Amino acid sequence: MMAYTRLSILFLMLAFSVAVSAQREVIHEERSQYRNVLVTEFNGQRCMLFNIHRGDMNQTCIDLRNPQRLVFNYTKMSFAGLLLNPDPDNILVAGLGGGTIPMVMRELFPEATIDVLEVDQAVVNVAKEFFNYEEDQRHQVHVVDARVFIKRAGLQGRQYDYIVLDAFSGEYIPEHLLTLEFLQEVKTLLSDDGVVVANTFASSQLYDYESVTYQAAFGEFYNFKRAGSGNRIIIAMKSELPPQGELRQPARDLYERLLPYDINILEYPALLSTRPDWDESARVLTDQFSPANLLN
Amino acid sequence: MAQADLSISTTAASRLAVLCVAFINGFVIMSIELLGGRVLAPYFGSSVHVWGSIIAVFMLSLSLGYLWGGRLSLTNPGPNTFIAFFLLAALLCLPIIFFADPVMTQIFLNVEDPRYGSLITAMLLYFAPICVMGMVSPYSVRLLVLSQSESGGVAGMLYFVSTLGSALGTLGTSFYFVMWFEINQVMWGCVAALLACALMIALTLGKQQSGVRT
Repeated sequence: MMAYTRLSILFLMLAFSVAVSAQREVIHEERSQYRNVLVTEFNGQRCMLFNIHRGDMNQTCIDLRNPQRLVFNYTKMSFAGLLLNPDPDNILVAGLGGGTIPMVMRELFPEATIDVLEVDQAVVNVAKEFFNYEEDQRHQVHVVDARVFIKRAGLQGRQYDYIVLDAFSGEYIPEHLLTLEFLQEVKTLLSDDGVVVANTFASSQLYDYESVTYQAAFGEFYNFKRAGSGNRIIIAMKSELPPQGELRQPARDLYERLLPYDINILEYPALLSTRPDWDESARVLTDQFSPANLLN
Repeated sequence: MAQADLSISTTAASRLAVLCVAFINGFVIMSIELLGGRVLAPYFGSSVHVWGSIIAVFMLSLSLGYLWGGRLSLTNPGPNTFIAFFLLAALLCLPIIFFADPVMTQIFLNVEDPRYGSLITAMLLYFAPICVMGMVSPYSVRLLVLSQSESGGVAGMLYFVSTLGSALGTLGTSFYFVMWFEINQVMWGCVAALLACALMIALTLGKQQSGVRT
C-alpha cells in the first residue's frame, strides 16, 4: 500500500514536471564552467534558470510587457536597505543573475558607482543578451569570486554605502560566503552609515546557523520576511540600527520613486523585526566550520 | 635469494597491517584533498579553477610519490623506511594546520590572479605531505610480494584497498566530518591516523624482522 502511494506521488511529480517544462520554452542555453544557464519564456515572463530539472528554479525573471516591474518579492525586498541609507554613492552587488538589482540602482542613483561581482562569465553573457543588462563608466561587472574581491577591496581600503549579498542559488550555497570571517570582511567595506542587505533563506536548519552568524558579525539586524516566500532579507549596518519608527519617513520619501518597480516600500517598515525568532544556541559558521550545504 | 621468498612481511598479522595502513593512507589523502578546497576558499574562492589547482597538485604529488617510493623499494627494502614515510607525512601535515593562513595571506597579497594564487598555495601546502603518502603504495607492494608470479595479484589487492580507503575518506569527510568538526580538528585526526599507521607497522613488521634476523 505504502509502495503504491509512493509510486503514484512519484508519477504525479513526473507528470507535473513534464507539464511545466512543456509550457516553458527554452529560448537560449549558455554553456558555463559551473552549470548550464538557461533562458526560458513563459506567460509573458523571461527567466534565467540554472537547473531545469527541479521545476521552478528561476534565478531572475523579467516581465516582457513591463520590464520595469520587478517580478520577485525578494528582489523588491532587497531595496528595503534604502530605508536606512536612502542615498548611497558607492554600491556593491555580489551575484548578478539577470542584473535586475544593479539596473534599478543605476536608474535610482545615476551618479552612484556600482560594482557587481559575478563568478560565472556565462551569467554575465546571458544577462547582457537577454535581460537588458548594461555596464557603463561607473558601473562595472567583475567576473570574480565575491570572497576574493571583497577581501582585496578591504585591503585596498575601499568603502561602500550599500552592499547587496545575493550570491546564493537555491540548491547550492557558496559556503565561504556564509562565514563569520566573510561577514567581518564585508563589514570592513561598509562606510560609517553603510548598509548590507543579504538575500538568504527562511527555511531549513540553516536559518538558525545563519542568523547567529550575522548576529556575531553585526550585532542586532533587521530580519525581513513575507508570508508565502521562502526567502528572507537580512539588513545590517556597521553602526547601530535606527529604531523602526524612524523608518516611516524615509519610506514616504522613497515611495514615489520605487513605485514604477512595483515596490511598495510603505509596507516595509512594519515588516522589519529585530526580535530573534531562531535558535540562538546554534553554532556560528566560520571558515573552519561551514557545513551550510549539509544543513540545507 | 630464493624466488619464493621475496617478501619482507611474512606473517599474517604483518601482511594485514600493510593492507590496513594502505587503506588508512588512501582515506587520509582524500580527506585532506577535500578539506583543501575549504582551506583555500576564503582566499581564492571556490571556483572551478581552485578545485583544478588542488586536484592537479594532488595528482602531481602522488605521481612523483609513486615514482620515488618505487625507487626506494629497490634498495634495501625494510619496515624502517616504511615507518619513516608515515612519521614524515604526519610531520609535513602540521604546516597545513599552523601556517596555512600566513602562507595564503602572503600569496594573496602578491598574486592577483586567484588561479595561480591557488595553484602556488596548493603546491606549498600539499606537495610534500601528499608526495610522501604517495610513496606508501609502491612500497607496500614491495613489502607484500612473495614471488614474481604473485606480484600482479598483490598490486591489485593494494590498489583495491587504498582506493577503497580514498572513496570512504571522500564520503566521510564531505558528508559528515565537516559537519561534526572544524577543518583543523579533522586535520589532527589525519595526523593521528598517520602516526597510528607508523605504530602499527612498528609493532608487526618491526618485531618480525628482528625475529627473522636471529
